[in-house]
Amino acid sequence: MEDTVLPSSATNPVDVMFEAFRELVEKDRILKDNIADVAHGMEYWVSRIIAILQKTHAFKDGCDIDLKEVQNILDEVQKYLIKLAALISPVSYYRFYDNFRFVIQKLCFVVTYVHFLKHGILLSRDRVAEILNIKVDPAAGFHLDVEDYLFGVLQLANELSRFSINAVVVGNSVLPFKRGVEGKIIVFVLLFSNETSKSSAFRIADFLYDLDAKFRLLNLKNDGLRRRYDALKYDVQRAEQVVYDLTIRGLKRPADEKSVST
Amino acid sequence: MSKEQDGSIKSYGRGGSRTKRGHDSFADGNDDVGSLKCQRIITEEEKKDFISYQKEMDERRDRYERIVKQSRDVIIECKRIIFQLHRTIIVNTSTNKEEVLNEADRRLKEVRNKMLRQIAEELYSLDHYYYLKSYDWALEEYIEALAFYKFLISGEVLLYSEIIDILQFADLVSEENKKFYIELPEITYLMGLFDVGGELMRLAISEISAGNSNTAVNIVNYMRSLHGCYEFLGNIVHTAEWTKKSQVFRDCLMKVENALYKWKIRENDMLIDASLLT
Repeated sequence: MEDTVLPSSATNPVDVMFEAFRELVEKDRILKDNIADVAHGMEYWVSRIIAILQKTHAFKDGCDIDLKEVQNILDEVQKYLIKLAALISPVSYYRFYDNFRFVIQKLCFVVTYVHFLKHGILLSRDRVAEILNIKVDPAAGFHLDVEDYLFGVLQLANELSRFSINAVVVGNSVLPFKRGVEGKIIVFVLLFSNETSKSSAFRIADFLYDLDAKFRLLNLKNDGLRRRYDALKYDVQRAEQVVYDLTIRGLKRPADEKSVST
Repeated sequence: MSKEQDGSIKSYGRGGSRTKRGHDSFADGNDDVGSLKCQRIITEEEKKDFISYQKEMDERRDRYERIVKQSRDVIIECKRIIFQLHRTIIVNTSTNKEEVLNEADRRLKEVRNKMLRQIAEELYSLDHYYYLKSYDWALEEYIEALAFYKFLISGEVLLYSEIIDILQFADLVSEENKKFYIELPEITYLMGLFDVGGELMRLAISEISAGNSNTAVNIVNYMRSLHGCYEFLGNIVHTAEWTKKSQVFRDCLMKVENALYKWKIRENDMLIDASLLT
């Protein structure tokens, strides 16, 4: 073997190999940057949807107007999903998975939250993939990973426990104005008449009970999803606290309310 | 399931301790509190989705664990082969040396045809990058053993195309005409080649201790060539592991160069002594 070998000579098969490596790594870097750009663009629209959905905590107007705008933005997001699928399909889905997994999780949360506001039930992964117009089968290339969907559902649980608290706050907002003028009986009549906050609080608690029971069906490994699931019990606890506070004040659980999932 | 549900009901009591206001005049209205303690039961229809998620995730985790076990076996066997290759310096004749090399070659083929082939079967028609972290450390060790063996045979660097061909398993018979292979990212190959530096340094020090500097000269030329190529690549992977291995490789190269330097110095000392004796 020669004493000195210069990489630029490109006659030695080892040097040729390393030249090829350099080119391969450069191609991968460019592809990775493109994927990150598309995911970043999608993140903008998903964040806008979340900003719109935050208005639900104020309970102003109905949800219908906001949800129409959300649907328009979801159509915009689907364009990015098509671009992302085009970039990823030639190579492996999981090779650059870390660049777009978090925006997919947030997207799952958004879709399930909107569906809960409309129908009060948990959207299944197949339905979420259907709404976003992507596959669920890993063999199809770009697909909705089951763990991303479960992460999104856990974000939904955290948001709903907050939603439950704010629902009661809205119901109680009339209390200070009436206390000095009317008697206690009038105050509670007003509380009883607020059907929205009452239904929301009880309905959310039922939903979270069911969700916790469903997650117990999984055999979660000790990884990120398991750590995220361990926080679910605090969301359930907060919802139970709200139900308890309402119950001891005489507000009863509606008999016909029960959440189901499709 | 009912045990956890009881646990959920118990948390009602904790919440109560934080509420101090009472409404005695509405005590009669609380008779329905008992109804809150009813057990909530999810129907089979509602469970169906999450049970399918459970099966999908369990299947992936089980496959991942099987590959991890197989990878551990590959690592153990490759380390033993490397130890065997190091014994070439203690055999006296070229015939015995050839026997040691033949035995190592047989064991390397067995690792490929049985262990790595089994990993390839597990990964058939799946996305290999999902399971990459479960087997790339085994491939690094295999590349280290194979490159070390090839250096002892011919003194040449094991090429990426050679290892890719080996991992295609094209020469092995498979039923239903399936084509098994293992995905080998170039980064994994380069990491494995880094590791050869440590083994070659160990071999060089042993050979110099045994009084033979020719092998050490070959080793230092081999490592200098590789070091130049790696410097050409630069910091293509911004990971701590790459930086660490790059530094270790450089340290090994300097150790071999230092050993040769000392050999050269002492060689002259011995010659001087010999001339004085005449």
